Amino acid sequence: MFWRRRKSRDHDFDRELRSHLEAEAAEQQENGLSADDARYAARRVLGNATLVKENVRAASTWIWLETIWKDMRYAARRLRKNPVFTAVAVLSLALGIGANTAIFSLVDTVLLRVLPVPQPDSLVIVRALTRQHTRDSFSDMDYQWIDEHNKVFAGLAAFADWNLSRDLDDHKEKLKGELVSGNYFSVLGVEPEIGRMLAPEDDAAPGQHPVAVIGYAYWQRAFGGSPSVLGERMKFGNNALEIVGVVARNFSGESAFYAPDVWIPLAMQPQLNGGRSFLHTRDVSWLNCVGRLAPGVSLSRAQASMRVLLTNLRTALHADPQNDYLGFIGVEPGAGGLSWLRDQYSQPLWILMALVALLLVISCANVANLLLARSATRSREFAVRIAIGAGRSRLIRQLLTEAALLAAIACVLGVGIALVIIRALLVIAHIDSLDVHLNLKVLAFAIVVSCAAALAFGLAPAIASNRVDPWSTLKLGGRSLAISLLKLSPSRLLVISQTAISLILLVASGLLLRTFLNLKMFNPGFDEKHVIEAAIDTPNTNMDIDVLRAKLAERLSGVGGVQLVSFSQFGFGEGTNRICCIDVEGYTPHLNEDKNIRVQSVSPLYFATMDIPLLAGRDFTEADKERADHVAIINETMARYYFRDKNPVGKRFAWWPGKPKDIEIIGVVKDAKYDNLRQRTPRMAYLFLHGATSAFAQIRADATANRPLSAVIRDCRAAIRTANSRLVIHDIEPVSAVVDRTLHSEQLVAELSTGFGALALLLTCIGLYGVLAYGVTRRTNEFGIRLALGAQRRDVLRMVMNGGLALVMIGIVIGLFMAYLLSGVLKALLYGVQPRDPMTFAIAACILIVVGAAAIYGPARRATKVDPMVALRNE
Amino acid sequence: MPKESSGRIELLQGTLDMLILRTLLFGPAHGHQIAKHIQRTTDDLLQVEHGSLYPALHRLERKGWLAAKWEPASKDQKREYKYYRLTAAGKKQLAAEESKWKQMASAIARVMWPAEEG
Repeated sequence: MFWRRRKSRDHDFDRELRSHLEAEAAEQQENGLSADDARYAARRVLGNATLVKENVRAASTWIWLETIWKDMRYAARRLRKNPVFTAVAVLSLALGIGANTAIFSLVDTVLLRVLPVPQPDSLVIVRALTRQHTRDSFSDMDYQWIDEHNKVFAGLAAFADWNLSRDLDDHKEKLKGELVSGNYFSVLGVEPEIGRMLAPEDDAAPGQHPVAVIGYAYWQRAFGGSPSVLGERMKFGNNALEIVGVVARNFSGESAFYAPDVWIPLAMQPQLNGGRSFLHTRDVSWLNCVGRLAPGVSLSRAQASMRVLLTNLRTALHADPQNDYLGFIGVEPGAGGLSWLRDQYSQPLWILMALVALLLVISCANVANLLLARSATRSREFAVRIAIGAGRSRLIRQLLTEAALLAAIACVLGVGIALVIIRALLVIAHIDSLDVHLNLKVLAFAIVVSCAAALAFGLAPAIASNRVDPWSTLKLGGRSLAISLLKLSPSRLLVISQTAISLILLVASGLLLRTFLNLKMFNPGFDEKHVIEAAIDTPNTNMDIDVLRAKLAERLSGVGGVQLVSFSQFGFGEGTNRICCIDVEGYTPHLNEDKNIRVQSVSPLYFATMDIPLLAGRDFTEADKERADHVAIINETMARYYFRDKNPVGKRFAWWPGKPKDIEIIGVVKDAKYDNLRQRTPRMAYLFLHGATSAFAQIRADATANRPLSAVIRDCRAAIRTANSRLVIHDIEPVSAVVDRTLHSEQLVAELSTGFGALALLLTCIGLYGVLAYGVTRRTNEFGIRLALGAQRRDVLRMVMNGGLALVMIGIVIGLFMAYLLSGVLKALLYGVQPRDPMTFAIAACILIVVGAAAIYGPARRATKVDPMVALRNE
Repeated sequence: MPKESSGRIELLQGTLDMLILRTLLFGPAHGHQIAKHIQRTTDDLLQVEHGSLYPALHRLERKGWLAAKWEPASKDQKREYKYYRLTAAGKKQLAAEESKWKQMASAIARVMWPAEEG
């Protein structure tokens, strides 16, 4: 270390000086002096040995390190001596740094992730987009065509999530699966840990390739990482798939938050789906695509070539360009892989990042204020030190060192706070699958933020101290600076800006909270409170599915508390089928209109179970089974779209122009949301449910005090098992829970921003309190005189309160103005509330005034407690 | 603050380095010898302050113009001194400073005694 080297240097120089003295003494002796006199003379000639030493040392490189070390120790001593100051400063900083680090680690994991594959930059996500630019998936036929006919991708792979249940000896194991095209692993460039990856030969003919590769984590979990796993067979219903390889350890799928346990060739899809094939058809959109750009091809060129390609595709596959589900093919950067979480959270996360940055500004202002107040009280010390020769630059450096030390402590504490916040976040956001941890990037971020903060809050007092004029300060007993500081008032400016920023944060959190509450209170069009939804898979059995379902309904109805049972093809948030180009009796379509409608199949009693009111006509009955493909119930939106104010009941339509119009509308129901709460209700037709191996059961149940919904759910689970032991229950939970899940990002943003708003408020109050308390202390004499001269305590109270509130009001006005300018940024996140909602602005201002007044009241009261005699004697 | 003793002249800033380098052109010497040499050659007109000599020596050493080594004294083998020696870079530096000094001196001379010129 440097001080050790310094020691040897010092030692060396001591020796040199000694030899010099000896030489000098020897010379003096030659001139005739006695030995002792000669030595003294030598010393006299040399002069101040220590000064010489200091000068030599100052020429040394290590000197600046040494002074830093000294400054650090001095700063540490000072911080230890003022534990309250240190605690408040460190804590408010640590909160700011912690919040920033936590949000950044989330941003890092969710938004900045890069796939662990070679040359991730040349990967692209190829997306199917509807004419309305909403996201969709490709059908197998479209994917095959694009893969074959494009000239811009070195390879284009398709994949689809596929939940599986593996048959073990005595139970079933639910697995996350992914069906992938044969070139999937070669396009991504993923290597096997052992064995081999899937290859195009494994995806050639439907149903002919019973092979699979498994993920590293699943290999460890289920097979103990044994190499003998190769060649082993996994049973999924009637299919046995041979494991041919294990995927490299660091690769866990192309989607950030879906880590498959097993990858299976697309060709096996029909087998895994009870024979219903999605292959070689345009009817089912189910594939996502990832491609690798050919060398030298830019993203924009690929994008442009997709436009041409789509036109050719339509011609080749005889798609009606006006009504093709595929409106556009999008090409996006794919280095980060595919992530619904990124899509869902990217905007909220950047907004949160901005909010925490503002929070940090407030914390910095706080610490700056504290340091400022303290440097004012230290002005006498500084004056003395300048008077005895300390360099001003050294003083400034010392103040900055103190700031840096504060920041360093706060940084360590802040990282700890970040860990706590992250843990809480994952619980709030229900994204436990997310592997958020502190990596080097996040730590570097925390350190950079801390350094920036240290500079920000350290500079103000340093500059203020630079103004110290030793002469007048010493003469006035150290008070002049304090008073002039308050007049110049950087501390007041800081408090004003804190208030302004707090107001912005409060407005933002208010708007986001109201959005969340609006959605939460929103009536989805069905009764979410009393309905339990179960996703049930019916594996291939020889039993007729409709019979099985009837048996299931009977068993479920027998459970205590259950009133009604129905089935549907899709549950809430699961999407629906889309059917294009219906031809409706008595309706002439415009040239460019969107002819897509949504279709969902339901059993009789579905509307009663979900409490969706029937507006006209009738519900399905079991009797409709005979002509299941010829009856439909439509929603209000669809009725209004095609029939205006006429009664649609009894009218007919066809799925495709030219086909006989043989589907009769038998009823109209009220609109209900089916995917999420924000969407606009589409035109929706409900068909009679029959067949279909996977379906959702809706169970309407009344929860009572001694029989909560959870008990009903437990009994339902058992009832489903007794109906048929081979049924697989994927999820069973209240619909309200499913609906809430679609609100997680809103909930996360609302709760976090409210938390940050509260924190901002707290920090601002500390700032206000600090500045006013300090002001009151400085003005003790003045208050004493006022009181002695007959001022009422009430007057003093009012004076201080007014002074403080004036700061708050200025801050609020500035804040309102800035919030007015900035709140438009939030527009896309809001629901049911305008960005410039006057109500929210007013409430935010009121909260700030009330809380601010409370913070001011403390010091103001103290001012009234001044004893005139004591105050005057002090003088 | 100029000292008022015996007609000694304060060294101009920056000239000490040059004088040290020039002194060492005769061969290695230790600090005391360097100081004495400068003093004697200028008939005690230039008094080298030890407070500036040693910092200057260390500075020049760090810049690589001097190299230092502990060696026994030539006449008294028992005593060890830190001998400074001019390096190649130091020689170059000396030449540069010398020419700079010459220019400066002649420039000053032209201002001070314009008539004597030419």
